[in-house]
Amino acid sequence: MKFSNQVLTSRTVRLALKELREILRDRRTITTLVLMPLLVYPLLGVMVKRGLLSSLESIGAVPFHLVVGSAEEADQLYRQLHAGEALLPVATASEAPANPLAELAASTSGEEPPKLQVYEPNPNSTVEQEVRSGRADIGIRIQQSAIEGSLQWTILHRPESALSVDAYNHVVTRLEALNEQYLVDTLRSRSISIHRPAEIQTQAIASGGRRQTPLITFIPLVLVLMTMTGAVYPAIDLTAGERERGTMEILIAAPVSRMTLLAGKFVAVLAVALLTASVNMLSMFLTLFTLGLDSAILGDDALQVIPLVMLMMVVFAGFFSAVLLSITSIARSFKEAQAYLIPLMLMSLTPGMFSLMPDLQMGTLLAVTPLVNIVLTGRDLLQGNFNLLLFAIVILSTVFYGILALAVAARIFGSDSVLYGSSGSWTELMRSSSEVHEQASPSAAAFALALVFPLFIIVGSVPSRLGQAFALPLSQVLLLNIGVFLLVFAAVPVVVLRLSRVQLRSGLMLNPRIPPVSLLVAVLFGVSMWAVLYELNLVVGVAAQAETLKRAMESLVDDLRQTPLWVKLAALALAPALCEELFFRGFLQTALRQRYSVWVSIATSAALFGLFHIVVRDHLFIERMIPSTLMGILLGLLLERSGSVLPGMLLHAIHNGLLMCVVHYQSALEDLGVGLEERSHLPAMWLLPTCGAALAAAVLLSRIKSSRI
Amino acid sequence: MSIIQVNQITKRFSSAEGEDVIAVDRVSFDVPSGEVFGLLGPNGAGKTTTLRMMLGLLQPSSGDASIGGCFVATEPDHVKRLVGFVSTSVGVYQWLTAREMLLFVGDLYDVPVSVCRDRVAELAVLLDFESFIDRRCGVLSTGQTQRINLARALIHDPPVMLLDEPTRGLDIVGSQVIFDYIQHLRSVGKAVVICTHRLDEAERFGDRFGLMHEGAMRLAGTLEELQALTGQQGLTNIFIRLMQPASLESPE
Repeated sequence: MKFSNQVLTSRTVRLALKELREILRDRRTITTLVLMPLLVYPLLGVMVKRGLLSSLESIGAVPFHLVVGSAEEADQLYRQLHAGEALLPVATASEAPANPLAELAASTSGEEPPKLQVYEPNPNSTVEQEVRSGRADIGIRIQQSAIEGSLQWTILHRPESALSVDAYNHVVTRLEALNEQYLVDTLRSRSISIHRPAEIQTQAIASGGRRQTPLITFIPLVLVLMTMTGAVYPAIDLTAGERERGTMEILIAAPVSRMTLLAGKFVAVLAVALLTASVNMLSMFLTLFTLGLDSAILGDDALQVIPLVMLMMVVFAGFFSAVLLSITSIARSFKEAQAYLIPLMLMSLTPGMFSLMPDLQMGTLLAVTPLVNIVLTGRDLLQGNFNLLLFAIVILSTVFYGILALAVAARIFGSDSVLYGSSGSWTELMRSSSEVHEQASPSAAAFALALVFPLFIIVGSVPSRLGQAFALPLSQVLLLNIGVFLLVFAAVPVVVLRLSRVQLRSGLMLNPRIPPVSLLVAVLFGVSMWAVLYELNLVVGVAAQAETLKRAMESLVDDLRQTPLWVKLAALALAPALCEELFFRGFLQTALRQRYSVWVSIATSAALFGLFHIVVRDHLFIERMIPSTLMGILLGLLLERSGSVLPGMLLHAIHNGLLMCVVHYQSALEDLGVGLEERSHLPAMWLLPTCGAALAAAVLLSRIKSSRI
Repeated sequence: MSIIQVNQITKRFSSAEGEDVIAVDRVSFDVPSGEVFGLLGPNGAGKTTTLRMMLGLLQPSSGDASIGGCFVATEPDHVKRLVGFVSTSVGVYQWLTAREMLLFVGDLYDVPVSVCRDRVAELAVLLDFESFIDRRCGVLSTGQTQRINLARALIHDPPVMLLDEPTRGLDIVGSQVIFDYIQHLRSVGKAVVICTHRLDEAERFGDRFGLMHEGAMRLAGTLEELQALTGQQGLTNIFIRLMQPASLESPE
């Protein structure tokens, strides 16, 4: 079995290469996936440009229609406007239109701002009728004013029409400029200096983020479409197609695990999806660039967008490759697979549309909603809003969903009902075999993990939210937190084990018969690990980050001191010790152990344990990953050596409990001259005994006779 | 001890109406190395299902099978290494050449590349496909595809061969290739199980026979033993006798 683990990765690559060789030799694939986009986008681009321009003429390029009463009035109008135009500052004359589509039209057409078309009404119509009917955008009547040398301009416009308002403003700004100039000239001629009480100067400030264009939010939607279309054909071909051509039996009859087979297929599908999406993107960018539409659609720094788009492409392609494989695995033929996929594709467009909603704020709930989360992350990234915490949650949850989808695919691929279409065996597919298992399978673990992570994010925030909403004291919030631990880390594995008919005692390694020395090891490590981790933190920790962590914790620590010690011990030592050990070691590591070697299982469960610990009160602390993972490795080793999860629980509880006591008795300890506030190494009187205890524990641990290592 | 041991193997399906259908009912038989065992019976007798359970493609509802001392249920990967599987329902990779496909399957069974290359060359001579070994499988004829599939089952040189209706849909030439193939398997000492409903053909290649009907093994033995038990001459007559309502009881 160990041998198969070592060749697992290279086997996956070889499988993927074979699949790719097959797909890429098929000329139809190349035509549809690669050549089509190279031809389609330039054609589409040219058509869109023409279509866009003609449809935009109403906004940008069309002249304003003005109706005036007589030819003299028209003459007057032209002269005055021309004079007013000359007085306008240059910036105002070429003022950017508020409408981005007009901007787009202007940038592509390169035409002059709107011209005026002035006409006189028919003999049987009036200026007013012309404006009301919409034939003219505005109407102008010029009459002699009561005051000598002044004219009365009456401007008729329709306030509900944007074009009419634009035309109105166009005329009014120029007439006002004339009036202003007249005033200034008059004052100057009488030698009156001009001091206005309020001199107005305007200054335009670019917003903090990237200059936003509404069209950039289309990119996530486009990416959804591109990666999905790229993945659909190979996903069907490598699962349902394999069944249809009768080659599935070759794979199922071979001594290769289905997860490995699926991993190879996943890599192949991902590669094709990435290839397709890259060709699409390349073709699209080139088209935009050659047509001069790039800055209009992508914003000013189009080149900076490209790496972001590539990153998103990988995430999207990975997600769709896994999900599509899990769905096409169910199908027995190409046709059946297509029938399953069409609803999925339509469904995927809805989250794709979410990227077009500028007001939709990404929150923790949306961050763990499949597909919606990556679409919104894509939108936020392109708009220059980046939140590391949400980004990490999105990526992690997407990875877990992908693994889950692959695990489901591996379970279905080549199963009885798919391979032989035995009637009525759909229920059989869902039903695990009737025999009772000793341990959960790695796919069950993947399932639990995909469930626990979003639960951890969502349910985990409930107690503090309730605390804020009802102004609960910290002790009650902490007690609520015990419920969260039980629900997330204990209930989920228990339910999953029950569903897969695994005995709880063996599935969670709740073995009461433990080597007595393992308890001693647990106690020794429990009392000493804090010192080791503290020193480690001094070495690897970044001061600035530690400050942030401290600040994030400060208010908490103050409240924490007020909380009764038993609450702290129950909520922050006992509950995490029992529940986390149950999930990460008893359940997860044991399930991984079914397929992977000791070290791979320990390292994987420890790394996941570390990952769950970097989320602290809405902040991300990558540094916490290292001590937590280290602790996870130690606890994992203890599980393997002792054959039970119980010593690990003891170790974890003592370790956490000790830290809680330090917090509780901090002032008393400080009085004794023991201060841990300073970032300095521990005094020797602390360091020596603790390191000695840790060393002794390590020696004892290595001597436990174990059947498992 | 026989290399193939099938012990009380049973497969139950639940039909679309929700009723339990017993496809294979407590079937047992042994096959030693160098013997060709014919698993005979009409369509729907449960032969193919039995074979698929022996290879681990289907999970038995109860009972077990062991190959070379390893149980299919507990060590499926080990069993798969010991078994070569031939079936007309198995296809070929359309876009790989015959050589590439054989090397790929060899890799699935962890056969070292150099060993695999030599074996492909040997099999190409044995099954006479040297002339089209570098053509892609999608353009090969039915007969040519068949030869590639026979080679595919032998690429990891398994001691046990399971053949599921190997002559289905083949002409006289194609069938003769199969008979020669079976002869070859016997001569190199492999334990062979062949499912077929072609009783006339089975008489030509089988050393021993198991007669299945409605999921159960009704009779098993050499042709002479079966003749002595039933008083009939050919396998066909023996079977017709067997399927009559008030027929012989199982020899157990």
